[in-house]
Amino acid sequence: MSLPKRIIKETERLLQEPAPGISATPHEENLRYFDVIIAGPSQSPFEGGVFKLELFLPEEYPMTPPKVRFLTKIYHPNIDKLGRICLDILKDKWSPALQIRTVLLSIQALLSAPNPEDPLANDVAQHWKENEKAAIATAREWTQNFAQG
Amino acid sequence: MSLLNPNDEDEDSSTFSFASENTSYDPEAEAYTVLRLLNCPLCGRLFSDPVTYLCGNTFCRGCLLSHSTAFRFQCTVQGCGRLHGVDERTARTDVSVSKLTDICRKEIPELISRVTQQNTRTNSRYTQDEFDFLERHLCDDDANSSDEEESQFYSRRFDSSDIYSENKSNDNSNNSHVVRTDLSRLKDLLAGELECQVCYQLFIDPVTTPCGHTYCRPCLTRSLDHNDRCPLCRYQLRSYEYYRNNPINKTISTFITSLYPALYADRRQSAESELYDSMQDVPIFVTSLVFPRMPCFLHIFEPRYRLMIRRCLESRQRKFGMILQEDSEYGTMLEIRSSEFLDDGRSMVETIGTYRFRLVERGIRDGYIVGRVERIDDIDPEQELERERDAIRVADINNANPINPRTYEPTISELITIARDFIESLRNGYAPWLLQRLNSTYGDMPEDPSDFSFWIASVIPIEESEKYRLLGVRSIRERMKIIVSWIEQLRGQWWFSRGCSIS
Repeated sequence: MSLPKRIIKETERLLQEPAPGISATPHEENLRYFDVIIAGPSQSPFEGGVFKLELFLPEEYPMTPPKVRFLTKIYHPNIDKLGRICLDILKDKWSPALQIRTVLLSIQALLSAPNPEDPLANDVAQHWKENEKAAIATAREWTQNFAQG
Repeated sequence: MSLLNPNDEDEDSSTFSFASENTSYDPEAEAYTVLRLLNCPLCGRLFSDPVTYLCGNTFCRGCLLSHSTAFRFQCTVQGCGRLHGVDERTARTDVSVSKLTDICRKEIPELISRVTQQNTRTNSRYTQDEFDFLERHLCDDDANSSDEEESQFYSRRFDSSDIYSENKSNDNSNNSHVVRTDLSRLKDLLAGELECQVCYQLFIDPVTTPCGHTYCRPCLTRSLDHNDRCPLCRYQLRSYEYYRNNPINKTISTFITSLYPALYADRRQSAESELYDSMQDVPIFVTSLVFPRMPCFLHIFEPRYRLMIRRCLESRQRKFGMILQEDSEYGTMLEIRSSEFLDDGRSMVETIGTYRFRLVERGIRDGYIVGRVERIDDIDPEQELERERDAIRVADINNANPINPRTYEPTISELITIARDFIESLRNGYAPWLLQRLNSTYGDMPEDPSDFSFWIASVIPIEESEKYRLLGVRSIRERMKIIVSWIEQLRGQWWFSRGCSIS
């Protein structure tokens, strides 16, 4: 099936004007599949890290949200061991007026502002709530160990 | 095609380019047209805080409120009936029109003041006749009767030639170069606001929500299949059925067709070819087993099938394939006989089986299966008879030798008699409830042997996965043999032979 015009335009715009700290490159053989890199936001425990993600636009996109997953190991209360992300706009709060760019910006924002009240990785969230300092230290350590590109 | 160079195809131009439009234009005339198209019909000035009502007309909020007594804004759109314009609380600014006027105010303020003066002189406000016309037609949903009249009305309103010629004779032409440069930029800027936020293309059939956001009608209805909120602001929208029929935003629509006719024609054509392409492959519905000539009633609620049925109806092909399971090889083509949309976008669709097919290629489009099918027909009657004779001959030869176990090859009419007898026995008491259900759903017992085989197969209580075997069988006799084997099984079951009793 041919690629919808919207996906073509979105990809062009992403490549022409990438969002700061974010890159998304489509696979040549499957233009619905993107390699994503998000730089850890400054003043967050993920600063200095380079996080790889995969993003896939399902057949019904933009009526259904893209599927996004971290490939790089990350210590974050809203991201689990498998790299799955707990973010409302990737689920029931999706809207077709959102786009790849806004999704990736939201994920970047999630790195700056972890939300242990709505956890996906329970143990990490617990750690975050009980001892935020220690949790942040672990997150830094993981960033050093696993997110160096 | 390279992703980054989609301009190999004309229709793919990724940005709206002014240059692609007709080059023999008169920039000043067009600049005036831009402004005329964005004039409030009530005050004759550039819209200020424009509000587009559900009837598709746009006015300045202030003008509308001051005119609300002159206009009976009782919307006759089905299920609406509210006094639009009187209740300003429900009216939100039309975001797209508002952005268009903002661009004009920023880019061509001197022209605006000139046109405003002009309008005051030529009295571009509505005349009494025009007022009467609007009062009659403004909120009239019965658009068919007044379509032509209305388009004449709009083209008359928006014809800028009179005002332009007056200007031209008064002005000296040394500033026309300035206008040309500005206008090119202006039109590109304006075009940027005419892109639907769902499909990223030029608006087609733009509809504006009560929250002031505009989408292509097909984009909005498709979004409503999934979610009943506005994609941009999550405002709770009215029912799906409403947006399927409500009038388009006349200001935006006229703006596009008047100023970007070439882009609009491309967009219209690509929308049509998209629909056409989507129907090149047969859309496939996965849910049940239907045989030829047998009716099938469907309740469409899944978003992907809502879209599929809408496309079938719009393309006027009114046909889609039905298969039992995702991986089924054989299926039946269904023809839509009638459809009824419920208010929330679900629909009830009445179909009838036409021919059987084999799915030879399959893919996915917007969530549903599409494919290429090969029609399956019965072998012709002579061939059928010949096969029957051959089978009987072989059986006779076999039976001539007493050592062989005896075989019996029934004829089609014998098989049909067995099946009819079975139905008779059901009718005579074993399970009359069954018959009653069948007659109302599948109609009377057909005479034609092929139809009969599918009728009885639809009727008897056997697993669908077992019945599925019949779809690929091209011989009536082979099908009847399978059916009779089921009948024998059923007869062997206790509740059929003894009758069901509840103690």
